[in-house]
Amino acid sequence: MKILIPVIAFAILLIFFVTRLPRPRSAAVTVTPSPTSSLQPPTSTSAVPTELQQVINDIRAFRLDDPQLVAPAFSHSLDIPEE
Amino acid sequence: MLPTLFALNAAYRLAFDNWGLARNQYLQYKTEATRQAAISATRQLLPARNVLWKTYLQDLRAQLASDTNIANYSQTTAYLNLETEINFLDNQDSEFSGITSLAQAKQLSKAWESRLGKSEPLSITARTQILSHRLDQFASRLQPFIDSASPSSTLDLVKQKLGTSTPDLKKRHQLLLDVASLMLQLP
Repeated sequence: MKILIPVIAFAILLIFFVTRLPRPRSAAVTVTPSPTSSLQPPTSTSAVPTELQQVINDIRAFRLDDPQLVAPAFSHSLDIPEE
Repeated sequence: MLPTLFALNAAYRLAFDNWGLARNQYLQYKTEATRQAAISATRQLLPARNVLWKTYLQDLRAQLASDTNIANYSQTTAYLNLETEINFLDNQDSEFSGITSLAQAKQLSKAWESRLGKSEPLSITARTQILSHRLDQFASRLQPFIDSASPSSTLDLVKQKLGTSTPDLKKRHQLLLDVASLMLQLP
């Protein structure tokens, strides 16, 4: 029983100090991928058309009925009445 | 159609609808008031048609100059002929504003329409030259890739198609589309 008293006192003191210790703050961590990280998005080369692909795209987009060149429609023969 | 031309087209449509209404009322009632209304509506319509066509030719002339740089004889001729037509149409504006009778309007309108018989083929020529030049440009842009390609049967086919000479714009465009597909198959 005499032994238990210092043990209990020590335990109480230990609990007291532990609860008084400052709690660790939650720190906002921003993770920036390193230049060599594999998580970085791969640089896409397919999005940028090659010069040849650009020519091909232009040929495919070409229109013989270009709206900018289409003639306006109007009456070629007005039927103006006689007086 | 360019924005200015689009607006002029809308103005012409409105003038045409108003003219049709005034014309029908005159034919129906034959009164002095309806006659004057018909003259007034015709005086609005003829310049609207004139400016619409003139602006179209001006746009074509500008497009011909910017696209082709008027690099050969036929392009120069088309450009100068467009210039002549535009000048003619410029002078028509004052004629139309002085219309005082339906008979006079009819005469001026007929003369204008008769001139259109020459003006319209000219516009088709200019348009064809612009489109033809654009197709030539595509072929020129492809040439460096053809020159640097390794010999193959596909390359021979590309050269054969590009070497085909035809005045038909539709066929020329189709040949270029074929070449474009073949170019992607080159080794």
